[in-house]
Amino acid sequence: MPISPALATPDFQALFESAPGLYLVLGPDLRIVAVSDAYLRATMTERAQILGRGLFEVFPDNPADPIATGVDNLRASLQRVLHGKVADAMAVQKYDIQRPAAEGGGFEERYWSPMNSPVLDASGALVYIIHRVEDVTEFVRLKELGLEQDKRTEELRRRTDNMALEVLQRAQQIQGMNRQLLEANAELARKDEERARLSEQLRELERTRAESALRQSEEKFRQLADNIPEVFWMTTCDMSEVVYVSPAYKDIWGRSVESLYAHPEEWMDAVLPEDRAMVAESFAKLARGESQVGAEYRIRRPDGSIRWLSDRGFPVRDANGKPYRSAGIAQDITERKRLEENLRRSQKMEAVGQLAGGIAHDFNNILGCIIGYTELVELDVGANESALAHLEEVLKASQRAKELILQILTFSRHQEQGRKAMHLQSVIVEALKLLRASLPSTVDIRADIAADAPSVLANDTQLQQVLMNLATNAAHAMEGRGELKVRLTTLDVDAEYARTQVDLRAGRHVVLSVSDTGCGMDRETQQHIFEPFFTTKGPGEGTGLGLAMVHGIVKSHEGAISVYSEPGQGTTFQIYFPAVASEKRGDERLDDALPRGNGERILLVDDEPALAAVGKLMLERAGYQVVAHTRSVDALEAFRARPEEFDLVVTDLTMPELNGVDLAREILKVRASAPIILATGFGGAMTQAKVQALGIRELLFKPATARSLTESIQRVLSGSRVA
Amino acid sequence: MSRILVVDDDDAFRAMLRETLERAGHEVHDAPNGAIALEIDQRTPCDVVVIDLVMPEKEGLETILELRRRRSRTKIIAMSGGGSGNPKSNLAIAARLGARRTLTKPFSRGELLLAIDHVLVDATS
Repeated sequence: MPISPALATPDFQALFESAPGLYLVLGPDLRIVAVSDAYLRATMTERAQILGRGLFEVFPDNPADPIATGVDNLRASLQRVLHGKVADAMAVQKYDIQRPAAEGGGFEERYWSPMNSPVLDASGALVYIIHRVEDVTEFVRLKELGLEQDKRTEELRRRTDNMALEVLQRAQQIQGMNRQLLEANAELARKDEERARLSEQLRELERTRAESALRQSEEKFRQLADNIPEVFWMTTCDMSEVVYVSPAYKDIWGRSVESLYAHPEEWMDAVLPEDRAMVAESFAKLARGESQVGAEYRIRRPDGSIRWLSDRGFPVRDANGKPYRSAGIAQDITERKRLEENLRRSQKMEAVGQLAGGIAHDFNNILGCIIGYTELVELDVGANESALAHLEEVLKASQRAKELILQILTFSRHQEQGRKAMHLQSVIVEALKLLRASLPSTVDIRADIAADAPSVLANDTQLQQVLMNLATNAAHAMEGRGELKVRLTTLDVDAEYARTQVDLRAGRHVVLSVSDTGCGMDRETQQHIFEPFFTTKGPGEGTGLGLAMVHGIVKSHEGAISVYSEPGQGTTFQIYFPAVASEKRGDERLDDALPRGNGERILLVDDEPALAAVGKLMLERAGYQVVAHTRSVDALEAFRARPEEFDLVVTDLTMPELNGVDLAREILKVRASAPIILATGFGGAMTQAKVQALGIRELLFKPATARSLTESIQRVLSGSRVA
Repeated sequence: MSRILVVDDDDAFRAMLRETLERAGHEVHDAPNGAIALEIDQRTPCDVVVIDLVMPEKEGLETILELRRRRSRTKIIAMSGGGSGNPKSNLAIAARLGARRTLTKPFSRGELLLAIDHVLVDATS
């Protein structure tokens, strides 16, 4: 049919919609842009229902068909078109068409053969996809019908085969399912077992919870017992077996815990024999049902040292209240005991000191009477030599009594002495020289003096007294034969160490130690040695004041003293002096050159020839002219002969015939302005004030060092009196 | 010969001092306590008073202080044999209060006479 050009542009949309084919036009977003009437009929839809909607939203898979793949296949085909931009023919698809609700709803089975073709614009971009579908349902049915006849036998055989196959498959499936079932059952059984086991564990857990709490508390107890410094112990009631002892046992007893478990009698064996009966009696009460017992006793450790213990015991009762264990806590109270002992000792010394202070006045009056009247009698008896000798003995004894009082006043610290910063090295060396002269040559003196030991705040006279006392005791303990060792060291005392010694404080100390190889002391003796009037010497050999005085001096120096001794093993005293923080004053003293004289004439008097000779030499080296005499009467004669020829007199105090004080008196009678220095040994009753009352310029303590002597001479010659 | 007053509560000691000083040629008066000593010194001033510091009735330091208040010309020698407190510090106090010499008990005859000589020499100079 010719087409008239006069006709207008055909209505493509109407043409498209009325075309007999089943067409859908989709946009690139797979929304339905256009649809043919045939398509609407075949899909039992209305145009208005589907235009503008997504393809798969309108045509979903039949949800009742679990193996429906139409949508997926179509989606894959459309994707291929979208990306490949070429037509894609799909295999025959089974599409179930959704029936309108008016027609009863549900799905109708259809077989379609779809073809998707791209529509590209001028630039090649995809603008539409034409989805054309051929409904081959009838064809498929016809084909199936046609084939039915032809293939009935084949079909039957195939079906039989299929059935056989199916039966086989089903059988296999059933077998498989049975297997799965069995496995599932086994799994279930395993789960049951697991559950049973878990619940058993749970029950076990529940059951042991109480025990666990107990164990925890036991564990806590053990941790506590393992870490406390006290010894916790538990034994059977009769104490024949040790059930438990805490590790502190090892520290305090010095024996292993294991050895105690093996040998429970070790406990009592360690107790000092004199304490055993008391300890046994105390703990026997426990077995008799007393609720708490206690004892303080001493044990001897394997190293021989003694420890004090405070041991409290109590019974451990069973559910019926019957004691079935004995338990207790033992505490090391050695330190406390030591402090108590020290306190007791210092109180005792304090008391004696007060007593001494109290009686000193009366006693000195009495002595004054004895001395005074004796001297009056001396005047009376005239030339009676025998009487004079006896009276001299009275005076000597009085002198000893006077020194005794002075010693008591020293240890009780009624006698304060000035202290200044000094190095102990020189004091010790000087004292050792004196000791060498006074101790028998069978006593070997060894000195180990640290040259760099810092200075201490000290009184050199008192330090000499300390050293002389200790050395004299040492010589006595060695019965004149052995080794005396004097050491001077520096020690930094930490807080820990300070606690081990009474009176010792932390800080740098200079330690003076005096050791001997003598008979040593037992512990009992050691506990009393610093007490006044305690002596191991025979009557008349010692006053028992030496160490009390040493103790008093050390205390007044803010120092500490300790003693280490074993019977037969010798004795070591250690004295700790706090070091002076600033070395300045001490060093100035040491570093200064000795003062020098300028040819001044000195009359030197000492009855000990060696000392007179040494003094003469010392002073001549220092630049003086020296006339030395060993007899005071000779010296007096020399002075009387030429009173103006001597610029200074240095005289010893204790001399036969005419003592230093009497010599001084006589000299002052000759020339009242004569400067005199009086030298006296330690322990004497002379004081600076006392000699000045006699008109003597200075009192010099022996043994005088070159420095102390020359300094004294300088002071006196320059006219500066010491107040 | 000088006029010396000895003050000490200890009778035996006082008597000993008295005799020692008399034998040395002095005129000696004595008193057992400070109060009597002050009476004696007020009646007839002494050249030297030798006085103990620790006494029950009127003790030495008080007496020395009183002598000083009276502007007495008596020279003082103080004695101490210890007792409560530090004997040295008591003597030092006595020295500050005006005691010319101090003696620590017990002392010898020589020491006593020397002290007397000294204060008398000081007194005449």
